[in-house]
Amino acid sequence: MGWGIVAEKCYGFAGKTLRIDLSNRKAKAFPTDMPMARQFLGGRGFNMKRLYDEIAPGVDPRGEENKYFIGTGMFGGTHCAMGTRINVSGKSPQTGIVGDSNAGTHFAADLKFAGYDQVIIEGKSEEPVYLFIDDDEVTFRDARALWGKSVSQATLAIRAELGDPSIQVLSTGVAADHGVNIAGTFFNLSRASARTGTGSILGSKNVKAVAVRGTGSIEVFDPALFHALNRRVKELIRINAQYEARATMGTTQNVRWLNEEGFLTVKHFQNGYQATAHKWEGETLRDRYNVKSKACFGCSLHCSRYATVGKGTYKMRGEGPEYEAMACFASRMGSDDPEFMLYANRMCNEYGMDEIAVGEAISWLMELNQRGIISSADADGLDLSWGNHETALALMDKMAHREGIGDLLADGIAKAAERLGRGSSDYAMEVKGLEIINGEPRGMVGYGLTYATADRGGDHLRSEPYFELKGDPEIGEEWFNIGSTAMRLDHHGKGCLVKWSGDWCAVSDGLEVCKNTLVCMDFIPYIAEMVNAATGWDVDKHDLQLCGERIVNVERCFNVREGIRRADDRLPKRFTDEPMECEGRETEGNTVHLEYMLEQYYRERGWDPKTSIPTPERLRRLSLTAEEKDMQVYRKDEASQKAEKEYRCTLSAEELESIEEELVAFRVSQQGGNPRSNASEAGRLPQPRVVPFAGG
Amino acid sequence: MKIAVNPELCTGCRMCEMECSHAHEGKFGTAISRIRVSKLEEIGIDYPVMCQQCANAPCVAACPQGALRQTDAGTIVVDAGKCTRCGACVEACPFGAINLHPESGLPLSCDLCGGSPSCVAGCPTGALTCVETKKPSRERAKELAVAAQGKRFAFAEKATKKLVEKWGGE
Repeated sequence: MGWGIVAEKCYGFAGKTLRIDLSNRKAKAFPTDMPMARQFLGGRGFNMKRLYDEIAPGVDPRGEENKYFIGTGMFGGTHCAMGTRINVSGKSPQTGIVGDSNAGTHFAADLKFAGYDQVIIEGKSEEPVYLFIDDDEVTFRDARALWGKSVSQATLAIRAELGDPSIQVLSTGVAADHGVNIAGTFFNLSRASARTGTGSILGSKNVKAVAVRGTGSIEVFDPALFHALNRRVKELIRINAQYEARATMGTTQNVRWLNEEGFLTVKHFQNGYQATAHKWEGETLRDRYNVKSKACFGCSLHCSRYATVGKGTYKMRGEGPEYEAMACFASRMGSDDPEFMLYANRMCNEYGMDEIAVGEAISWLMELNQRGIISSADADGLDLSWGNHETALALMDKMAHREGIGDLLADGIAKAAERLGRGSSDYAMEVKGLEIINGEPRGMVGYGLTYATADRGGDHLRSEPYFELKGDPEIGEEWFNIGSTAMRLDHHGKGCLVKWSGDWCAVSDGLEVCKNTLVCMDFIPYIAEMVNAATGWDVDKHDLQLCGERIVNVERCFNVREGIRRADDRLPKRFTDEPMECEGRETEGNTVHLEYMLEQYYRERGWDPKTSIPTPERLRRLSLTAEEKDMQVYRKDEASQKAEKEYRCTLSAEELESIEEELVAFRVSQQGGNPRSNASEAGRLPQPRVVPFAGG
Repeated sequence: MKIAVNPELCTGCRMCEMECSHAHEGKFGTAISRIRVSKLEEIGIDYPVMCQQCANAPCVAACPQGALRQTDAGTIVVDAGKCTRCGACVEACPFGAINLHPESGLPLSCDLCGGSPSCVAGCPTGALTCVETKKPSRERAKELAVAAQGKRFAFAEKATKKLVEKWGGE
C-alpha cells in the first residue's frame, strides 16, 4: 500500500509528514511543508510551530485536544557526524506551557527511512495501543498486555511480537501508565526525552509506544560535497581539545571540575562542594565501571557509555548515566555511592520518569526534613535523612505508581509544594513548574538567566551559555566585544550571550544535531555549508540564526497565550538572595543578579521588559505575522495590565547605561564589519590535511 | 582481505551503514547498506555484520540460477541477468549478511569497495579494520612443508599396512 502522494524532491528531508488520529484509528500522510522548513528548519522548529498553530489556548494537556509531535531534522538518516537527535513535544501536563524534550536516538533515522519528517499524534485511543509505522503502513496494535510494563520490558516485547529485533521503539514506562505527569519518552531503552512530562501526554492518550521500521533512503543535494564536508567535521571533532574527555566520559566529566570550583549541587543547592565527590566522578566511572562507549546515530563523538556493576546490592548494567542523573542520585540527595547512582539511574529509566524531577523531589523532601518542616510521618514512615538510598528508591517506586507520598510528588515539585504548603514552595527549585537541573547558577550566572527565561522552564538546554565557562576574557572580547561574556561569575553581557545561545540552541534542535558539538564545541562556522550541501539551499549562518530566533519567539508567543508574563521569568530566591557556600572555593559568596541580565536580555530579544511579550517590530522582522496579530490581544489583556502595573526596575542609572553600552558592543560584534566576529576556537584549530571540496 | 570487528570499540553509531550506502548508492539508508549493525541493547552489544567470505559459500550453492559467483577475494558477485530475485541466497546465508535491495531486488553483499572499504575508513573509533588474508612467510611455508611431509609418510604407511603384513619378515 502507498499513500498515493508524490512528494516533491526535498533533499535532506524524508518528504512526508504523518498525522495519526487515535480517536478514529486513521492515519494520513501529506507532503512535508517545505516553506515551513525554510522558516523553522525542522525538528523542534516544526513541533513548536505546530504546537502554536494546532493547540488552542487553555486546552487540557491530558485531554483529547492536546497533541504529541515527533520531529526529526534534515540530517537524520545521513552520516552527519554531529549526531541525530529527535524532539517530542506537546502542551506539557506537568507545567501547562510549552512541553518539549530532545533525545539522541536511532528512532529518528529509521523514522526518516520510513519516509517521515514529522509525526503528529492526536485524539485519544479508547484502549491501550501501540503504533507500528512500517514504511507506508500504520497499524494500531493492542497494548493491554504492555500496560504497566517498564521501558525495556515494553520495548523488547514489541520487538519480539513484531518478530524483528532491529525495530526502533519509542516507549513510555511504568509511570506514564499510572497518570504520572513527570513521565518521559524513552528510546533505545535508556535514551530519555523526559523533561516536561512528554511521556505523560502519550499515557493520557492510551498510547504505550510507537515502533518504526523504514526501508527507504535519504538523498542529499550534493552527496560528494556533503561527504567531503562531513569528513572535515569528523576530523575536526577528533582533533578538538574537548574530544578525549567527552569521548571517554561524556557529561560525567563535569563532576570533578564543578566540585573543585565549588558549584556542584550538594544537598539540594545548600552547598557547592562535596569532599567525597571523587568516589562518583566521571573519572571513577571511566576507570571502574564503564565497559565501552556508546553513540547516537551517526555520531563520531560517542560521548555515551555502557556501564556495569558486577556484584553487590546494586548489580546492574545499562547505558549512561549523564551528569544530570548522576548528580541527582549522588550529591543533590547527599550521597556519594557510585553503584547506587548507576542503579538508581537505570531504575528511573525503567520507571520512565524525568530524573531531574525525581531527583528534585527526593532532595526537596530531605531538605524539608532537615528544616523540620516535615518528618518521616509525612512520608509514609520513610527515613528522610540525607543520602538514604532505600528511601530514594522507595520514593521513586511510589512516584511511578502514585502511591502514598508518591501521589503528591507525581505532578512535579511546583504542584507538590503548592499542595503541601507550610512554606515549602520557598525550597522548590523550579521555574515555570519545571525542576532546575544540577547546574548551580550562582557558579555560572548566565545559566541562571537561561533557567529564568527558558520557555519550557528551569532548564539549560534552551539556551546553554556554555561560552561563559571558557574563563578567558580575551575570547569574550574576540567573539562578542565583551570580555566578561566568557567569565562565569560576571553578569555583564550575559543578556546578549544568552540570547545568542538561545538562537543557536534552537538551530541545533531544528537541525536535530547535538548541542555539545554545534554549540559547546564551536562548530557553528561549519554548519551552513552542511545545510546547503544537504538541501540545495543557499543560506549563511545569519539566516540560520534567524530561524533559531523565530523558533524561540513562537515558543514565547505560545506561553504568552497560556498566561506567562515577566514575573514568571524568575529564579528561586536561594539563587538571588543566599550567598553561595562552598568551603571557600572560587564560587564562595556569589549570588545571581538576575534583574541586570534580564533587562539586557529583553532588550536584545526585542521583548517588552514589562510583559516579556515580543514587540510587534521583532515579530514582523521574523515574519511571524499570524503570531503578531494574536499578540495584539494579549498585550492588552488582564495579565499584561497586571504585569505592567507590577513592573519595577530597581537598576541604577549607571547599570542601565552599562546595559546599553554592552548591547552596542555586542551588536557590533555580530555585524560583518568586525573581522573577529566569525572567529571561533574550531576555526583556529589546524585544518585536516585533505579537504576535497565539490566533486572531490 | 577481510573486515574485522572489535566489539569493545563499536559504539553502535551505524556510521558504517551510512558510509556504505553513500559509497554504493549515493544516498543514505539502512536497507541499502551491505553492512548492518546488530544492536543488542539489553546486553550493551553493538556488532556490525557483513559478508564473512565463507569457503564454499552457502549462498552461491543455494542459488538455483547459478547467478552468484565467489571471487578470489572471497566476495560474492551477482549476475543481474541471471538473478530472479528469489531470495534463496538470503535464506542460505548463515549470518544474515545478504539483503535484497528494496528497489531492484538484487542481492546486496559486501564487495570490500574493491579493496578499500568505506565503512572501515568512516568508522569513528577503529572498531572496523581490514585484515589481510596474506601469503605465508618463508619460515611459515617451510614449517608447513615439513608438517606435510610427515603427514604424507604417515598416510603412505597406513595405506600399505596390509601389504607389509603380507610380505612378512622382520
